[in-house]
Amino acid sequence: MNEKTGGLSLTHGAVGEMLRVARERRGLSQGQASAMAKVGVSSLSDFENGKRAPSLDQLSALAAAYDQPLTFFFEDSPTKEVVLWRQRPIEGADEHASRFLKWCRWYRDLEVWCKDETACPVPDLPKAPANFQAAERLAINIRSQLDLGEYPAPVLLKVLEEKWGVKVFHQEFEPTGTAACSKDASFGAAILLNAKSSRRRRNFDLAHELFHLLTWKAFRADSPETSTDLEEKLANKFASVLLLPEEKLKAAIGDRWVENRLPLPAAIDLARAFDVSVDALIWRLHGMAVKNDAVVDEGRTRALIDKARALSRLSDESSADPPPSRPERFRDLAVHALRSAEISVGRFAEYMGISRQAAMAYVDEEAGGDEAFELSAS
Amino acid sequence: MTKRLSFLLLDANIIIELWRLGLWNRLVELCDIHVGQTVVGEADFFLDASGNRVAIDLSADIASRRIQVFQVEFSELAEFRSRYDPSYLAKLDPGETEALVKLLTLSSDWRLCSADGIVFKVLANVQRGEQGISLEEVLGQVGMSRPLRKQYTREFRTEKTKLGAIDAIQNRGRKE
Repeated sequence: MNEKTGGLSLTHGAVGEMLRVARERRGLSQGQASAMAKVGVSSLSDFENGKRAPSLDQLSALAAAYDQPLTFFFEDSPTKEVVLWRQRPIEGADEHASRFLKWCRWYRDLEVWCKDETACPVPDLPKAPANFQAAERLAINIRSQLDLGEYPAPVLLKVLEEKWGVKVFHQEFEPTGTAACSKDASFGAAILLNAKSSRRRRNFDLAHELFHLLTWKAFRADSPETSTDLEEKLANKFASVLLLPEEKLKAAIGDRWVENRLPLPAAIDLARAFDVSVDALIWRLHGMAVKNDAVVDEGRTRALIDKARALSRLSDESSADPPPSRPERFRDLAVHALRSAEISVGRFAEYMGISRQAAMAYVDEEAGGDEAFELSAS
Repeated sequence: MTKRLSFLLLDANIIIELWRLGLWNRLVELCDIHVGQTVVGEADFFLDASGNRVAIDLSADIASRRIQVFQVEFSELAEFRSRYDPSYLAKLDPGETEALVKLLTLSSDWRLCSADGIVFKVLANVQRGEQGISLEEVLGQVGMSRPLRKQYTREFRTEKTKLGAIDAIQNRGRKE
């Protein structure tokens, strides 16, 4: 990302151009931006056309409306970060994506300011898997590489955050929308999950998005913001195999077969054990049967899933507690940055998604938090 | 009436605390107060003892010129960014950036009152550490002393100013 050599060299035209770029990236008309930032439409037009420059308070308001830092307006040719949606929300997709990218940048800034950067990022596969067999091999390889164990779903999020520094955020999408991801030279790899989905569903989405991150270079070169149907199917295959190891699943099924069939209550029980949705469990069994040349009817599988969903509706309470929007490590870094006077109280409030007054109250409480836990030498 | 304390810039946290303590009107009578345009928007409410939101309305003080409001032009911001660590723009509130940029264009008589560690740290780093002032010191100078929480004290300001001085010695945070 290039920057202008010095602020003094900036022309009104250059700033105006960046204001226009930021507004268009956010998907806003001048009228909408004007209303959000409380800056007059004619003033905004003047700024964008380089007739005059905004004052700091106006620029701050516009930056906030565009989800960009003030530093954005000093850049020469800022790279455009890409968000890949699995299923784009019908409403507010630009807003969700813009907020997601802003959080990713904040996270990266906090890592830098707290000197806590991840040494080992998500690898970039030189070549994408060409078929389901290759996607399955990739999943087995990654499961082993990440040491995910026999029940990968409950640990996947933590492992991705700790080992590969993946930034995982949650937002509530309405009325539809599943997950999204992004990979950028600046902030690394990031995933956005739907907080309204159940935890088991989110586990699958996380694994699905991981496939996109691993194959980012291979797939996104030709198609930055959209994926093909094949790519999505490969991602589903990858997620399914990653979260449901074949040998462990077979062992867990054990003697639950009844006349060569797995009763739905048993499938529901297994889904709970592996912390995946009953859909994911049944599709995995379907895939294993296909691989073993069994005759399976996809329509019948879909009908079974509908029945299983209805049966498991009351027992699946995994959506009861929506996850926090910001990950725990992000929040810890923000606290650390505040304590070491690396960020202001106002920024801390913004990063944590709380009011300035709540942040001030937090500062009051933690003013006495300088005590250290001491280990006795004896 | 001559004000007892002139050339005083306030940031949003200080205004909020003064309103919370019920000291705002008295301080405005005693001090020549200047606030940035952004700060006017940032200091929007305080929480009373019961946790209820109470709106802060500075409009009457602004209209009657009991407090002065200033703006920072883009060129001044650009100069600040070109001279100092560009990350300050991301680390500071817009209101604090506004106050710091303004202070750097003013004489050494001016003081910036804050309860934010980073403000004192940056001031020291740009060789203006002596222009930072805590709320405790402001209240002391106008005869309104009272016990305050740590971030409003001279001790807090001194501690954070020292951090900035260390940064300056280690050549962090400055471009020149």
